[in-house]
Amino acid sequence: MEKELQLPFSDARTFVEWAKAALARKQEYTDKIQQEWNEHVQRRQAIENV
Amino acid sequence: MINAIVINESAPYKVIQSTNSSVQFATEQGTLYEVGFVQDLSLGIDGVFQFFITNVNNSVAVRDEKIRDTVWAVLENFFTENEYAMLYICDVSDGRQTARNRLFRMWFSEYANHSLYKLLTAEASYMGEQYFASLIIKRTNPYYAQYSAKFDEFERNLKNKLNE
Repeated sequence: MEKELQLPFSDARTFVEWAKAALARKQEYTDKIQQEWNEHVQRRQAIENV
Repeated sequence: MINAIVINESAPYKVIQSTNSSVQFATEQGTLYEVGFVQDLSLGIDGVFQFFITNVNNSVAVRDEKIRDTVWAVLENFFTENEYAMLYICDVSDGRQTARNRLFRMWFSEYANHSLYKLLTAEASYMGEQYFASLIIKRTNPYYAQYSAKFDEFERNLKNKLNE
């Protein structure tokens, strides 16, 4: 049985706060992807420089 | 969650599996993208995931229909393999969220099977900041009716407040 849902926003202020927080969570995740790519590039350059 | 082998049956740019929930592909112009999904519990259930597309090597992005078609293949696989809903909130870091929102809605309307899904949208401005959010949910999702009603109610309430 489905549960009763409530959205985490009810007006413009709470919507903007929710959207900001959700984007921040996503940004944290994509920042890690970026960091892993940068580390990969550095490792490859280190190997090429040997 | 998503499967590169299945995605590659229809994607114009070949993707490689990066994680269980993301894939990478390179464009003809040399841009490397990672596309995928990260779980978001803020809407009250386990089955909502935020869609992301990130330009991994920070190269100049060029609009290219093959990117759109590859992203569609990823999204199609997401909805086919799972009974999840997809949340997309437009990035605001460069002030181009209105254009981003327009492009996203255009992509959705151009998608051949869009009638199987509902695009629920919400947008609002507060203190000079404007945000756009979209929830794509299959009409067969058990929470479809509730989300549809709640998003409609939010939009009505915002309109009523503006008219006060």
